[in-house]
Amino acid sequence: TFHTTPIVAKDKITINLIDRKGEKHTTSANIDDTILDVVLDNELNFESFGVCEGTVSCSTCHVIFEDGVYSLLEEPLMDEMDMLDLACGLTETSRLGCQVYLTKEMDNCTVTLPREITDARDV
Amino acid sequence: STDPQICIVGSGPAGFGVAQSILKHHPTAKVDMFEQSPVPYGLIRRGVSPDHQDVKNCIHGYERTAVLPGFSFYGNIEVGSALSLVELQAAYHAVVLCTGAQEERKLGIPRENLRNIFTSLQFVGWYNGDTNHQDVNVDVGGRTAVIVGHGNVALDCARMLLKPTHMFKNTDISSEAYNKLMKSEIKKVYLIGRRGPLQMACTRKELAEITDLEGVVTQVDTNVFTPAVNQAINNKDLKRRKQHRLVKYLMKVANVENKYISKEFEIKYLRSPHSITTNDDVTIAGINFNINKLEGDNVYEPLVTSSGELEHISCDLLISCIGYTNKLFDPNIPYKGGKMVHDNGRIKPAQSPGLYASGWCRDGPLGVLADTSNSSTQTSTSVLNDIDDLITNKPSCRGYKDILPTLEEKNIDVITWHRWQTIDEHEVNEGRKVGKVREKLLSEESMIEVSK
Ligand SMILES: Cc1cc2nc3c(=O)[nH]c(=O)nc-3n(C[C@H](O)[C@H](O)[C@H](O)COP(=O)(O)OP(=O)(O)OC[C@H]3O[C@@H](n4cnc5c(N)ncnc54)[C@H](O)[C@@H]3O)c2cc1C
Ligand code: FES
Repeated sequence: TFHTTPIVAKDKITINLIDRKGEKHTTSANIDDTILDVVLDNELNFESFGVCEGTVSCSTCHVIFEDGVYSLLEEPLMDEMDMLDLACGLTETSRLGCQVYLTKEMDNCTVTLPREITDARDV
Repeated sequence: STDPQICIVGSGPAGFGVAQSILKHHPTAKVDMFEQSPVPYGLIRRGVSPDHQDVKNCIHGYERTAVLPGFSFYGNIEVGSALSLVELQAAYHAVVLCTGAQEERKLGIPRENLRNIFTSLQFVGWYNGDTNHQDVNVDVGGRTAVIVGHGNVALDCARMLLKPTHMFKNTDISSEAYNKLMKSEIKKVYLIGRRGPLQMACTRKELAEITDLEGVVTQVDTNVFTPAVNQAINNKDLKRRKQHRLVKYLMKVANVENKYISKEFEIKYLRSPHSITTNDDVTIAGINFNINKLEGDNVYEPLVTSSGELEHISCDLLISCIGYTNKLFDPNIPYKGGKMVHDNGRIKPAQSPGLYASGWCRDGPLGVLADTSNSSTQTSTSVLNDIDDLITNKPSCRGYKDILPTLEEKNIDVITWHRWQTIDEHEVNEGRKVGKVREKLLSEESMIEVSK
């Protein structure tokens, strides 16, 4: 990726991402980037994440926010709602990582990927 | 050698998902992928609609996996005929079946084999350039089409007939289909389902892709929005949100006045196919439906009973989109309710550890890419957890080296990743000449020829 404006330190925040195995990744991230950008730029390489490359047509970038941070976010648009409906393990504070832009208020927040769903023996 | 030898059967999203996570977590693993077609990607190539190119972006990730040092692709090899499952299990520590759901349910009603009646597998395969379905003769010279089914595939088929064809111009639609659809006379498309609006399997997004089309007027049987349905859709239940949003949207778009109408889209409920009618014993003239009633207290899963009355709808083209089914892959694999019996992806026919499955062949033909990805994450975790034990039990597996003699003996022309890249480049180039993202080759022979 390339940036049109130089990045200065004050445009950065810290965010914590918890992957599908429960492991925590703390990274610094640019304000106005999406969660998907953060995952790609830091080569976090999460299991099948962001498969449609941010075009709102796959829902694999589904992430879960903490209540407090979730309420700060702007309402999802119709496209995002449509894909969220198809997300595995939907919660009340679910969003699509490719549609949520980082703001200053989100500094130090924790964003969780839904766990890989292991089902009981299907007999 | 003690490096894991893993084999994946099928190159759709399930197969690539498993390959990707195994190679990520076990960099010395050797992953060999066998595919029956000369070309990869399963339903991403043959199913996903040409106007859903964004969905096909997943291919970029698959391409990154395919060039990893541990990965090999072997196309044009059908497991079950060219190679047996037993042979694969002897040669590899783990075998992961990712073969998808290859068959389709038929309506099972009288005169179903008359002219201009297709299953979605045929119709979708036709416009998507699937080499197996180029012999169908789709006639769009009539005015009315009936689509049976209320799922996303049904909407894909309806959209193909309702959306102005020039909007497909730069996609990867087959040129044959494009040219024919340009001359289409179809003005009315029915979408007919057995149950009510709360039972529709499609998504709001897919529906909106039709109802938002300029010049297309949408008609909906409004008497299906009963008080019980009205009440249900206002419940805040996350698990039902998808259905509730869909029904609210249906109410909004039902019978909206439209000044400029070029095509009609009518959604009908409570109709089960009963029999095909014909005037000349050759071509379809219409279809009779049994009219159903919904009963019981559960508004989400009502009992469907027939009222005994019939309704006839005249049509010139019929496409049934009532779901895919699993082709039973091997008599030893246990199935229940259309799904393989498994434990987190582990298939356990007696005495054969090391057999796994993922995607539509395992879970049945339901859901979208995200569900398939999820299935693959789960299965690859099981493979990785078991792999050390599997290597200890079968130390002498040599993977492809053990398979090669059989392939040579049977004279099979194996399509490697490099040969696929040659086909890919050819198709993209041919497409570019006519302003399309890709012009697909329409026969396996031509694919093999081009790859040489
Ligand atoms: C018409 C249609 C449209 C769709 N549109 C969308 C969409 O817009 N968005 C979305 O998210 N999802 C869509 N889906 C769903 C999506 O395609 C599936 O979730 C996904 O393809 C399932 O992946 P799979 O790998 O299990 O199966 P498949 O994609 O079917 O792959 C199976 C592969 O295995 C190969 N194979 C089978 N048998 C053998 C054998 N014996 N030996 C060797 N190889 C074999 C097949 O040739 C195939 O390549 C659509 C599905 C259909 C049918
Ligand atoms: S990356 Fe596909 S929806 Fe966000």
